[in-house]
Amino acid sequence: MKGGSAGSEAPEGRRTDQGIGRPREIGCGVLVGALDGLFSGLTGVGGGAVLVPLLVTALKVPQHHAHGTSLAIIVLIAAAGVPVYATQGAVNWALAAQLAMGSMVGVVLGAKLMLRVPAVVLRRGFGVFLLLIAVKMLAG
Amino acid sequence: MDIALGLALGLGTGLVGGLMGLGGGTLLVPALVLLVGLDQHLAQGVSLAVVAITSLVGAITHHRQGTVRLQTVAWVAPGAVACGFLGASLATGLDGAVLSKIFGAMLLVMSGLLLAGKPAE
Repeated sequence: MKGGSAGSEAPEGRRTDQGIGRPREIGCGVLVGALDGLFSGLTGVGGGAVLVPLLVTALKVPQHHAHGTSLAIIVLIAAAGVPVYATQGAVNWALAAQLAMGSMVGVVLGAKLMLRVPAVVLRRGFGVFLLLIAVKMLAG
Repeated sequence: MDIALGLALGLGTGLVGGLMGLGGGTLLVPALVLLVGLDQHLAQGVSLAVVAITSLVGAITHHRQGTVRLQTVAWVAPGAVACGFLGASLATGLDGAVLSKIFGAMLLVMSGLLLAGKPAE
């Protein structure tokens, strides 16, 4: 799937530095995806809460790239999950549209803000954030 | 629900989503259940619809600033989408309270992973 383009100077089949390429890493990637998808479908979230931790620990994606990559994967998961909920009548479109108007602005600001945050702060901040929600959900 | 509350809730989840690489569902589902009083299933359905739109806009923004690894997306996404269908189908047969506990337990494990190790730049 990564056959060199005609103008490329890199030798055919050479492994790029970007992302995962070896069989073990590919297997890991598929497993991470499966685990994340299952969680996402079960709980109705895009899966980023599970995806970012797994990308940085299991797949060794650098912290800032993990957050961006996570969002790109979530697009596909959410797009696939929405019809399942919609056919059960579990989507209130008017409410969703209203929320989305605000979130589209917020997400652009957030992505730009991320570039200014050091990796260690992103990682620890995300960890604390998940811990708080976990406690809330388990206690509630 | 009040329009101002809806926009504010959307803006807040979007901001955290873009910053943290989340679609925003992790915040939105609890907010819709606890603040707006939706039932768990409806909250999840609405959340996922919002997440689909938010993450698309967020992913485009991240791609433009060079923080998306397309190769990683290519290997992780297919399994995720396939199991997403499976999970969504299973969810309809599960009690809302059980779903909340699964949600909480999974996040607890993930927070442990992040708080333990050191990040790569």
